[in-house]
Amino acid sequence: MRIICFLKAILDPEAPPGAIRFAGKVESGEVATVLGPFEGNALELSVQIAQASAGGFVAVAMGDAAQDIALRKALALGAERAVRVDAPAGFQDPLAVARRLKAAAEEAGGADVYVFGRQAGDWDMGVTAGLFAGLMDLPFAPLVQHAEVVGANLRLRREIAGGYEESLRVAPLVVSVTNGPLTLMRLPKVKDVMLANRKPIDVLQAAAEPSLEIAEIAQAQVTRQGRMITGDAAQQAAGLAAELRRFLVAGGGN
Amino acid sequence: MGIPHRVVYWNVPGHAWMYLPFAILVLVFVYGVWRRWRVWALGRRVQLRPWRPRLRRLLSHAGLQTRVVRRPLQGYAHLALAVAFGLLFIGTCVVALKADFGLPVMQGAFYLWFESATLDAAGLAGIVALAVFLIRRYGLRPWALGREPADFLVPFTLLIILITGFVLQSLRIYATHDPWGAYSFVGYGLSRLYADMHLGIPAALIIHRSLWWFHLLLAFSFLGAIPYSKLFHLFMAPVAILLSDPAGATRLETPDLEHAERLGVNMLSDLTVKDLVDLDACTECGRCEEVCPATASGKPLSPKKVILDLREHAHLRPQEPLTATIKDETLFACTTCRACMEACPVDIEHVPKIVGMRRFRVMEEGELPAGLAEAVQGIEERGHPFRGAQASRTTWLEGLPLKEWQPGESCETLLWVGCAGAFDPRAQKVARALAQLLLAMGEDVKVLGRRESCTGDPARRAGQEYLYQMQAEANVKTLTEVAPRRIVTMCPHCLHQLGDEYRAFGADFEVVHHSEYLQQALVTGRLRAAAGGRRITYHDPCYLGRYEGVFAAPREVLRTAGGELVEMAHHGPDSFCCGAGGGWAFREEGPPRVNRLRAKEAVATGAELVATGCPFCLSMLTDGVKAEGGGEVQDIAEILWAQLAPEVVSESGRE
Ligand code: SF4
Ligand code: SF4
Repeated sequence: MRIICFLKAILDPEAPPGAIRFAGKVESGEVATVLGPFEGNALELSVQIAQASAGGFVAVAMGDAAQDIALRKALALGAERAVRVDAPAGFQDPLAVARRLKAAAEEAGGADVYVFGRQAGDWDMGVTAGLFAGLMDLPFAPLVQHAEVVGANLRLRREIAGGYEESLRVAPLVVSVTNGPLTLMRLPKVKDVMLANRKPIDVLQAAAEPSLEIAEIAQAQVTRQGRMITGDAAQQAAGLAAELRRFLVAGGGN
Repeated sequence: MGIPHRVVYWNVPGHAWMYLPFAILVLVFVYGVWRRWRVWALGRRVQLRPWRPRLRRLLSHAGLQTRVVRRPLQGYAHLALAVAFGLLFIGTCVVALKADFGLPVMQGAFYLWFESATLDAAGLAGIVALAVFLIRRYGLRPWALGREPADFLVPFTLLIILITGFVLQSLRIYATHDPWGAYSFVGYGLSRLYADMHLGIPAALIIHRSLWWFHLLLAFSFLGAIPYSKLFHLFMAPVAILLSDPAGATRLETPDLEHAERLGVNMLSDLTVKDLVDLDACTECGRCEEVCPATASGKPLSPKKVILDLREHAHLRPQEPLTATIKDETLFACTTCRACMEACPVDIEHVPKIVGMRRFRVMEEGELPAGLAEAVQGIEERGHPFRGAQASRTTWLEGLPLKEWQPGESCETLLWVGCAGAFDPRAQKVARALAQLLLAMGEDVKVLGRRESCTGDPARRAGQEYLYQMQAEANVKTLTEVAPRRIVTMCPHCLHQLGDEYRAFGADFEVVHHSEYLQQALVTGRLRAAAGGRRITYHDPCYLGRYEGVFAAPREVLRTAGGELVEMAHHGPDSFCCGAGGGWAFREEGPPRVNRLRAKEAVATGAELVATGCPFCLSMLTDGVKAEGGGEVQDIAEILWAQLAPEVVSESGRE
């Protein structure tokens, strides 16, 4: 099977509070750029499908050179080719992203399976995969946690309330991958990392697309409204009840 | 009576036949050595220069057996046995000189005092030593000693050889009425019994002749078995000691990864000659196993078994990968505490082998235990192993008048806090206490802030050497630019990296652990502390003690500022790991946890306060001591800061 895996490197979601500042625009300071967590799951699933079907995968990312760390991870895990759709860093309108990724997918010769992470860990919109499927006119299987190759098709598994749902899907299709015990990204072998660091990354110039832009972004104000209820157990219980009543009356619990 | 002497080969007319079994012995022996030689020849060569420290170590550890006698009972018994056999060997050579070359060496005072009296004393000492061995192994039954058939056969055969030797001697004295017999006092004593028993001379002659052949064949069989059994340590232990790193192999090898054919160790040929000789030098004494925290906490690792399993692998399946023999659960259980290496009487180096095999698993096969994998990934992505840290590199110093170094500035004292000091909430307090102590000393002290990055130590110990080397190169570059006069650090792992292992990357910095720096300040009067009145016990961090040899300084600080110092059962070079090393600080450990074992010892001292000098030990012991119902655990910097004399503190203000 031929696979295209779409990746995105994001500002470290584990950066301590306050390290990334939002003052009109995003100020990342010294915060590291890392592969998005769900893209790690997508990469793992791509490797698994490629291995199980004796196929191969191409990794595609969009953004500036900071994206290369995501692509290098993919190369270290066996991607045949890495493509970066050149674009400035920062927020991108998902529809514009989907259009550009479609162009990149066509340039790469298309695939049987298009693999996305469930959502980018920075803006958390989670719509690009669906938009991409719509643009490509392909079926879309979201939130996949496991894939089994069955001939030219895939048996996909995802978690539902109280269990799993499995479905046999006909390729070509688009999947988005979420975290699960079987999509934990494997460690690349160091030899492969060393080789990956020497491989080229193809840069595609993106066509101009009409796009949403962010006019302004502001830091959420952290307010502390916690109050310690003191006293013995009975006083504390009474105090808590009074607090809750006040809260509900004020409309906090609608 | 004439010149004192004895007739060699007395009463053994066909003694020349002994050259037949002797020839077989030589063949068997040579074949046995050759079998093992084939394995050593696979190894990578080791650098032997400079020779002097190696020879000194050889003299001390092999000649004087200084490590063996650290366990007095079995140690002195072993030393006695070794000396006895050395003397008996010389005695036998003298006999050969006389018998085969006709040299007149078996006569006169030398015959009486050496060949007779001294050798009898040696034989007697040998018997006593062997009795001690047998009683210990089968009477006292220590758990770390094996009780396989060979474990019995070796000392028992030796005992029979010595006893039959004395019987032969006594029969000769009895039958020949040897006028100088009394010098061979053991044989002489026995010969007196025969008279009481009315043993007939013809019978004595027959017994003597048969026993002579028995003794000879038994001795030859024993010698022939040497290269096929643990007895081979007789020859290989001195070689292993000679080849061992005189600095204790605390610095891991820095391989050239770009040009390596294979990353890490997976075939015998990836090991060094020293590693392969080690396998044949092991005496199976079990001392390494006795002190191993992984063994003690029930993990599937025994350093002795690693060596013995590798030995078996080397001889039974030399062409197979080592992963067939040593499993991941074993490899990754090691805390790299070096207790085994410190205990081993023949300087076998366990940790380099274990880390070498880890390197293969991690770098060639991408295998790393959960927890450790995330920590290593953290170092790669954000320069520290603490997942989910809520702090930045400079959060800990907020509010302190501490400056971050800026390019172009000079730097007198650089405080290298380490990742724990920056990101672990408990260790941040230590970092603050230390910073304030340095400020109170009027020190021109700076920190690197966001320019500091993990030394890579957890990655290296885990086997991710590639990442480690990148971290090391980057840090050496930064530090070379900063060019501090000295670096003070509160983390023994950083100390070991910056001061020792970074030398392989061209570093040459003066690096001191805070305990040493603070102790110096107390001696010179730059710091003055009020005496404390608490009962304190001190835990030696492995990387400060066994790796860096710092034992006294932290104790001095505690004596000055803490109070009464009481020692745990394991302390100094024999300290017991807290359980954090080798990447365990970042892994989930099932019970019984190593830190609980250590905490038990700490609590058993009755100390109110447990002190240490490592942020990882601090965190491990804090959990352990709490669970064991003990008191507080603090770093020496915190203890000193709390006891600092008021006039010093008033200038800087206590927190
Ligand atoms: S270094 Fe420590 S944990 Fe590792 S084998 Fe030796 S004694 Fe055991
Ligand atoms: S490795 Fe050393 S300490 Fe361990 S059993 Fe062998 S000789 Fe004894």
